[in-house]
Amino acid sequence: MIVFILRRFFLLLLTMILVSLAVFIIAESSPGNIAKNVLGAFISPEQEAAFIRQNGLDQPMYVRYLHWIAGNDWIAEKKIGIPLKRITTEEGFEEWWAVKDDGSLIRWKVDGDDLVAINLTPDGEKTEYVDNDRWKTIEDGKQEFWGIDRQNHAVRWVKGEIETMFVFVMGKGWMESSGGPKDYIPLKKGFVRGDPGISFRTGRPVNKSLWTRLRNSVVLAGTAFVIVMPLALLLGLIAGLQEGSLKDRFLSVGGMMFSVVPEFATGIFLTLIFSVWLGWLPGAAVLGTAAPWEKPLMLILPVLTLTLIELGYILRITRASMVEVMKAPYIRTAFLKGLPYKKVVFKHAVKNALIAPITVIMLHVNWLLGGIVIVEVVFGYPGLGAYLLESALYKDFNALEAGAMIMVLVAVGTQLVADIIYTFLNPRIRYA
Amino acid sequence: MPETVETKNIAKTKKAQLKDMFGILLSSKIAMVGLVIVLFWVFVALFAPLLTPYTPYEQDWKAPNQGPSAEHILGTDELGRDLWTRLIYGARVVLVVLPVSENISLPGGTAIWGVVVALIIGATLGLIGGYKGGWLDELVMRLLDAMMAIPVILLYLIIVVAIGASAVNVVIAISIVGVPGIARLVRSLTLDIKTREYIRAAETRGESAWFIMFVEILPNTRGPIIIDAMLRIGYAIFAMGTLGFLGLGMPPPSPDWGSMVAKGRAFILTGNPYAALWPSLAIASLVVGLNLLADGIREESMRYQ
Repeated sequence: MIVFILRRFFLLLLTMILVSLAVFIIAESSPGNIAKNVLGAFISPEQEAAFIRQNGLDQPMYVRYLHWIAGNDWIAEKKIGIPLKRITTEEGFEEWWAVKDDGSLIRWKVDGDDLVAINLTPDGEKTEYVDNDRWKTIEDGKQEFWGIDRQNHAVRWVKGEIETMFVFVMGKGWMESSGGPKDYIPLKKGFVRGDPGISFRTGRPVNKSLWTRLRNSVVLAGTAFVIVMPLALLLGLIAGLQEGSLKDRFLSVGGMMFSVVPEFATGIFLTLIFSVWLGWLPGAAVLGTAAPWEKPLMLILPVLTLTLIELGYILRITRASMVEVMKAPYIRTAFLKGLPYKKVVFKHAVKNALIAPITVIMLHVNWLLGGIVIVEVVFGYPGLGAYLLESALYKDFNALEAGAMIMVLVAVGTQLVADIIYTFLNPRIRYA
Repeated sequence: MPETVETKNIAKTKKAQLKDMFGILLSSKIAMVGLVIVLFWVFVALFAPLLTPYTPYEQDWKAPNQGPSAEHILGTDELGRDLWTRLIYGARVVLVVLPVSENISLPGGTAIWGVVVALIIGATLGLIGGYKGGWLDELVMRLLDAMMAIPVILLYLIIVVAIGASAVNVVIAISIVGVPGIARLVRSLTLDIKTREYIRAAETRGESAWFIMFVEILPNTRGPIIIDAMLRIGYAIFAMGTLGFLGLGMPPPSPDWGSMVAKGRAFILTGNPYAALWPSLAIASLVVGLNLLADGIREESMRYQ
């Protein structure tokens, strides 16, 4: 049992590593440069080169992968020799600073041949002073300094070899300035330490949008799940009890039809019926910054679409399981013993008939995730699935990677849980 | 000659099997309904050029976004292209031709090719894993397990973003997603067949491993594989539609059901529901038809037993 769970856990890790590698390789090999995607098609080669260098995209892939997974602030810390710290500003941006001995924060810029320190005290006071003592002499009498610039990079400046630098400021565009360093390390904490990086599409930390999107998706899927489960199990039991009857045929054929039609088609049908012809419901889920539960009307159609698709699937499995159980010898025995019909069904049959559907439903989460992506796209619902698609089409791979990881975690995690539940529900497996 | 007698017997049972199949089909109303729907789509796909005066790319800029009329029986899309024409040419891409490039197309629809390629790769992996066993089997199966654990939609996104959108890439995406399931099925069948005596006989004869895998074992796995493949074609059509809808299917001007829906969706609320409605109905009916057919056959054949 423990071996089994450990094995499953190992599989989860393996899967996550595989997915992260796959997405990374794609970011590398796919046509269409991320720089052009972010900055538009009309940037100059110098600007493109600057963007690539500043974002560490010129590094070999395994280095970038390692940095993405485990972060690179510890590498930078070694080079700078001062501990680093990440803070969040009042505007919601993240900034990296070095921590001085007295507890105040410090960053640098280069002005001509002078190194200028920017000092931030804990009570929020910013001062600037010339900090030329920090230059270190290297070979040929040159002087260099590893420090932190104002765009969250650890950088290496060489005195006298200051390059022109292009800085892209989100919302402002390109700024040309002097004081450009030789080497860049774009600072990040790494995925395993809870920092999936900056989204190229929004210029903000992926973390920010990801959690809202995930919350929205969970609300959508959760609502659908709460409606589907009892309904599908009940209908499945009814159909299974009267195998071959008109009611059964109607339920199982109807269920099949709903479950095999692609989600987007179901979504279109429902939109046409309820928002175009009947005019009862909004045809799109325009949430803006509102939480989904603040606009419940917008949730109805997406939830209904998901419900219909899942309903048929679970109904059919429950039905098949019920049919099988009702044919079992122990049920016949119960009947022959003279027990009333209701008692046989509810006390003897239902319990066993529900084992299969409950575990299968957990395994079905993989499928449900696909459904959520489509439903979110159909209704413009701002969930994780839509986010993933947008990121994929944009090749915003920090966001894509993070979203993909969460999806895999959910999928494999539920499978692990399903396996464990199954062994508890079915003693035959536990003691085998 | 004992050999000919044997082949005759096999031929006879095959004929009988076919007859049985047909009997099952006729006796199940559900299967018949499914068959009629599927045949309808196969028919319009095969004879698409004869069933419409337009081409799927012809734009009538004087009549964009129109409802059904005498000239355009199902209406037109936002560029004034005839929807019926695009619909039946779309069926052609799904069921009859695989457009490899502008000038080359292969017979056999995109969905069909996806399943066939998956079958070839999956069966090979399953045979190798099942027959050879050992660390190779362990490695292949663990990798496939990991692949199966990845949500399908994510796999599609990753694959198509990596290699771009085209018919061939849709085939690749569908087949990669299909491989693990088929490999598992073939592997379990192989593990069973491996213990049979005729395999031991072949080994004693000194046949090579490849000969045993592909000539002795593979033909004996066909029954379950064929049923599995039928369901997979339905699923491949589903997948094609989904990919097209997400903008990961055929490149724009080609008549792809999924992308027709995606385009038409924008015009639903402005008063022309047809551009999204027809392709949705088309894909829904074809997939439901295939499933009704498979379901009916399965149910009836179980009743026979």
